[in-house]
Amino acid sequence: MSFHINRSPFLVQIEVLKQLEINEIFLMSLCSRKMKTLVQRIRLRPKKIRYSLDDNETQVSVGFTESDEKLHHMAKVKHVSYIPVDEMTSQQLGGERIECRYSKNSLTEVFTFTLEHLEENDKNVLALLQNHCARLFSNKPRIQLEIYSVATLMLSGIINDVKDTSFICEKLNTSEIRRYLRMHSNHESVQVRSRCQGRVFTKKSKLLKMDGLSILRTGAMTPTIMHNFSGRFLLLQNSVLCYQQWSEVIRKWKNKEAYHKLHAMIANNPKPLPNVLNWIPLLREFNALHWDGSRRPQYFKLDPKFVETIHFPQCDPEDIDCTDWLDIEQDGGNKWASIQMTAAQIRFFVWN
Amino acid sequence: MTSPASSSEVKYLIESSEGNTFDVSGAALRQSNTFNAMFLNIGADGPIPFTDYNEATLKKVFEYCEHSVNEENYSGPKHQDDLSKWDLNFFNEMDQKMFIDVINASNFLDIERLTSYCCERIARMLRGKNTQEMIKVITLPTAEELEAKQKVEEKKAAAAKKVAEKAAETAEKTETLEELPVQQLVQTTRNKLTRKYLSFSNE
Repeated sequence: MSFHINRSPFLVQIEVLKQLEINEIFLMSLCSRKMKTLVQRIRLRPKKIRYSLDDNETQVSVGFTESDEKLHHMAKVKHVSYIPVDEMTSQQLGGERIECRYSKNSLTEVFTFTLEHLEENDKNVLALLQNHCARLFSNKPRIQLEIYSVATLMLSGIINDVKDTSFICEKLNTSEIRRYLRMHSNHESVQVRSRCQGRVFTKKSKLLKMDGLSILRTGAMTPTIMHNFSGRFLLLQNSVLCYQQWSEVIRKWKNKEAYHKLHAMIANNPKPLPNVLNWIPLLREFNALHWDGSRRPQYFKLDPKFVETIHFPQCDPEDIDCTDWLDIEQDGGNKWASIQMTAAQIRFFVWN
Repeated sequence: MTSPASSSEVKYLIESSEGNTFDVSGAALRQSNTFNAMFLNIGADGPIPFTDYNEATLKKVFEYCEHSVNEENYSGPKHQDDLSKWDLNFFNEMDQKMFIDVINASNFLDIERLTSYCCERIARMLRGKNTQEMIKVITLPTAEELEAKQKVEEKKAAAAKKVAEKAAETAEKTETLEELPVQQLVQTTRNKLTRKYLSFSNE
């Protein structure tokens, strides 16, 4: 059964599109210029658009809420070395025609189809894909990147206005991160899940000036990162914790020497903490006080921007109960911070 | 046109494009927002003309409305899989032409539930299809067809331009002749004749 969509009432056309999934809407938008305009008329307003770049494929997902759990898969584009002539089709994408084919994915995959194009057009197709996707929405969603392969670091330069990046490749050299951040200068948060090698990050490094930073395998770099971080939110996982480092962080924050913008600093340790450090002298040193119920609220709310953009697995964006936490006052001001040490982690939150 | 019993049993006469009339219950008609806005408050003396739609289409639409009178209020689109057996039969009975007429009528009458189910059915036809297959379902012209159409249009435009230019040229000539004063016209003709005579005598 076929249906002349162009001859049907406008409201019917809109209603049909509204009932489609986002990946189907994407495919519809490729049907014709009129269909693309129609998609624009349903006024989709995603909060974020995420490009996941791997060796030979790019996936595009959009999120209509802040949460990552409800990310909708929109398009999958893959480069191939060869497409048989009888399977090749010409497709308008982002204002240009490309030679491609649609390959059907297995039922277990989230994408029904993959748009396959020839390898030599890789750069061009990514630019066209970004162009096409950007024009489908009536707003300007936050652009996020996921880097699954070091080989795609340079290619990622095609994507503009990237705000958040996750490095998911296995190994990564710190110089590659530096180069990447020079290429994308408007970053707000970075998540590094790769094993890092190379020169350590210094105070001048863009990475440590990032508003939000999450590093999965900090290892021996922990002290340098904590020392030089000047952003708002720092999450260190599998880090090496030391008394001296935390003492310096608290002292510098208390004396207003550093960490002026700090919102939260969290470090997880693979070993149970009490065996590593004795915290009592540290807390005494800074006159840490038990919460009296009046100097600060009971619940701390982590900025959802960080919780959701840099994959913060340990904590949901709900308010965190700080009843049993100890409070430290900043010198000469009304600012308070609270600290909690558990066997698994140390959390240091600054009350605004 | 109405049988004045209790308000729920009120019947309205509907007139189709063929001029035929049939009655529909007030409860069924109230599912149409268009009807609510147009007639419910001001009343209707005589058959209500929905003459853009034929009798079969209107009967089908109101058959649906009569059936869903007792269903709970509409609360957004329902997935096709959640439709009742009656609903499925209702849709399956229709051929393509009837289906399209029903959507159009339902859209005009603004019957949210029916329009939404119909659109869901179209959306279902598009699911699991790639762009090329979608183009066939929604019968859009293909890129080649569009290109061919554009070429024909370009040719037509070029031909029209040529005709227009010729017409303008002819008009200009006529205009030049018309604009010459009679005396000047006589002089020009005389000159021409003299030149002809001279050339003739030279030969």
